[in-house]
Amino acid sequence: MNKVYDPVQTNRNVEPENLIEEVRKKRADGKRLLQMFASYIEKHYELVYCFDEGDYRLENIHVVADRSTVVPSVSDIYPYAAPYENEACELFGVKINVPMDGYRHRLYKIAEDAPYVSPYDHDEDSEEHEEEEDGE
Amino acid sequence: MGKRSVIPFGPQHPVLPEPIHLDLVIEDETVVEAIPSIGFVHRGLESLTDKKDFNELVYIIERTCGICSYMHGMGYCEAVERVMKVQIPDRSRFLRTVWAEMSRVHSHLLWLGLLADAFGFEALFYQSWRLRERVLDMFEESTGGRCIFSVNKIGGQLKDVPDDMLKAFSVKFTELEKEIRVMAKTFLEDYTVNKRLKGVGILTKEQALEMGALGPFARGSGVRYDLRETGYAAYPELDFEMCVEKDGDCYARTKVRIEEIFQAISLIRQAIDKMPGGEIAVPVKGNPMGEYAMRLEQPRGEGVYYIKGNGTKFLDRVRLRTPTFANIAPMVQTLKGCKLSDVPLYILSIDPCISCTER
Repeated sequence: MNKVYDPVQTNRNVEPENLIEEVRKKRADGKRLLQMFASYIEKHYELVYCFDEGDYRLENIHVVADRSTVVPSVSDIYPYAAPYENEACELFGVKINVPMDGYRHRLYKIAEDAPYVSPYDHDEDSEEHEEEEDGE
Repeated sequence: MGKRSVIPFGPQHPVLPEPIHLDLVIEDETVVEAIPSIGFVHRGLESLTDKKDFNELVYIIERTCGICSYMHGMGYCEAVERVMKVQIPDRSRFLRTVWAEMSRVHSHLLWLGLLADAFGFEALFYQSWRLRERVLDMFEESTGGRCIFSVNKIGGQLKDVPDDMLKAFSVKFTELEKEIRVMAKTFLEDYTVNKRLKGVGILTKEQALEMGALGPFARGSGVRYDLRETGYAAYPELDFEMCVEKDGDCYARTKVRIEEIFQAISLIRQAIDKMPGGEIAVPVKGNPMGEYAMRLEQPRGEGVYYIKGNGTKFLDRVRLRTPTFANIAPMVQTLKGCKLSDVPLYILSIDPCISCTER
């Protein structure tokens, strides 16, 4: 059997307040932002910024933020980050200070705000529902 | 300075096979700004991770798009296989390469037809789609499906293709290549087509890099970036040369895609010639624990399949970064300064797949 294609992928956690500095370093080093996306870790948001490190290696920068935290936008550093940031805001409800120009905070024309909810919210809702039922 | 006005473009428009909306801010007949919006057919496939186990998700992910369906399934499977340290059999790697390149041929032929339709060359449109049907026939023969194939699974393939059928495919592709070469001559040399494509929709190499353009859209601007060079599936064992053009206009993007069709046919023939025997899948035990972002070269550019497993059969996160989503920003960039009448051609030249974008 031949060797499996498996370039190195590293993961690193960064605090929201240090994000801009880290991303600026990446840009200065000529790294390409591959994508950025949101997900949940229980009550928190997790934002993942994937950078192409050259030779098809990747570094994923993880930013875990409280739901009330406003995460700084990186679209001044990487202009093409704006659609990703809009997606995280509009589908997940992450608070990112995306500049108004470009997508006007409405990339997605969907009826519901932040329709992607955390499984944790599902559980919390069902627990509340059960409590209500017990109360009755 | 002329008077500024806003022209809504889409979501329903004759040149758009799928819905995307653009607010075009124009001055006289020139576009000065384009504000895109999507979400008209959003399906929320990524949010099904907590409802379907990681094996069932193969079928969900395949349904992201009807054109590059095979590659979506393959990308997801390869991501899970890397997390679980599963090494698939050699025959499976080669079969994946054959089906992936067949997807590229039919996707590019589909796009060529749509392009011909956009500039009003109906005969060329029918010819492109007639040839594409032959590839779909081969898909049907080998997988049973023409749109969604469902032959991928974690650990390999669900279905084998007999060697005599593969040999017959090789002959069919040789015949198909001859016919595509005749048609390609019209796309590349016809006076009217050249007038419509050359010097139109220019994206410079600097702009492509600055705006993160991908796939043939970027390669048409001289960006040398093709993930098949990384050597996933059977590509390390096949002769592969990246197709790159420098001019950055619609003609360059068309040329790249036409060259990629011939490159894909060559890869299919090579993979069939070198097809090893043996098993097509290995048993997979356990659940994925860890994260991986698998990247592969789809017909429209780099697709990223990120998965994060927690050791249970339900994944924490599946994320699909499709090439069209990444190409929205550079597309908006190329639209600035173009004439209103050229907008359909500009949009079409990135080969937008809204179905992929609205995963």
